[in-house]
Amino acid sequence: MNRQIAIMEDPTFAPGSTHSATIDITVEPAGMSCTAELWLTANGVAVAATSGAVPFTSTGAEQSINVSVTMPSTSPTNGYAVYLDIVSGGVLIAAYEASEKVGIAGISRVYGRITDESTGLPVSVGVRVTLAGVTVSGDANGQYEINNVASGQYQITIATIVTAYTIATTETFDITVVPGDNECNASVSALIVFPPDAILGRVYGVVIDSSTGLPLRSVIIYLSASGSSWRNDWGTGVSGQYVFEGFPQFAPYGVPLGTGVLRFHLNGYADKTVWITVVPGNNEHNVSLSR
Amino acid sequence: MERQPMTMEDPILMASSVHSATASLTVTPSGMACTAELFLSLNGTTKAATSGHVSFTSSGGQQSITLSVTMPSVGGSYGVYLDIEAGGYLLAAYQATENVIIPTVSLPVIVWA
Repeated sequence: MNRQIAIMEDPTFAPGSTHSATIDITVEPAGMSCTAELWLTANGVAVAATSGAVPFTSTGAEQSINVSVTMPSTSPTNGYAVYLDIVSGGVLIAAYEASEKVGIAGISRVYGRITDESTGLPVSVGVRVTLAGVTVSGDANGQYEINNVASGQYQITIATIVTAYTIATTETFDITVVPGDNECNASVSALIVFPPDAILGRVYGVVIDSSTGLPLRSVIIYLSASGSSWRNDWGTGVSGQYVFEGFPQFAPYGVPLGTGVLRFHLNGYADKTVWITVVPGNNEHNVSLSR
Repeated sequence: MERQPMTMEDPILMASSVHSATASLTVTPSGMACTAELFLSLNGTTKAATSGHVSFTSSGGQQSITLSVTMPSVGGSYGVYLDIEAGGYLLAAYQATENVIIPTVSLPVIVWA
């Protein structure tokens, strides 16, 4: 028997929750001893949840059959198909598949790839995707993933970053999240200036008094490298330490490679300039200042 | 001729499906050219489905006649009738003790609470 379509809305339920469904149906002739079983399945065969066989006697007119189903704790990719079987005298007299599927809330996944609209290449850094209050960064392949999104209508925002502190482009569009996987790809105007992590360096060290060997606090340090300049606004710490490793909110972006200049200044001491070559990873430069 | 009751279980069969029924009966004397017709009817008169006239020769003892019927396409509770004829005469007429049920189920609407 081929299943026919039964009209049903597309509900989303919490895992393991119990819900009743009303089946409005007309079975003729009147007086037949029947059962109705509503069941959920991922593949059309295996029963993921069922109401069991609920008995009723046909009236020959429209009647409502109430059944109760405890939802599964997991969800397949596209939700569960809902099947309804009407049996009488051991004979399957009608079989239906609901027009929509049941989704299990909290286990939908939204994923996709962000590409540069001009080149078509994946945007490897500087992309942030925001959906339902959750923000994630894209990976090196421009891919992102947000899990545990309840089904529904949302706006998804793709932001690309062009400087350390500026969100250069923001694109927002509507998305309908359905149970299971939701692929959402986007092309953006990406002007990413950050180099890949592999060619970034971290410049750090300790500043001491040349005569006493004690650490110097509040030493102002300027770092110039690859056409950009940075300054440790708060000076060295109590142990005389300093570090240039980029911008915390976009870590681990660091100092570009190449030749740079470190300039140390502390009132009462002579300024000192140190030429450095920034290499990938750690670049330790300890300095002593003289009065 | 008044119809006599005949034993039959109460089957539920699907609309337009084809089913065979075996009628166990005894017609005497033997050697008579007979026909058997099994038909379904809502009112006892109008045939909603029939096996047609199936020929057999009476054996004088109990014999089984197989009758194939395509079920009506319209749902309902159908009376089942069996006519035995020979030489143009209706020898025996029966009505089954139970009806054949052809169920119909409407397109359901499912609403979750």
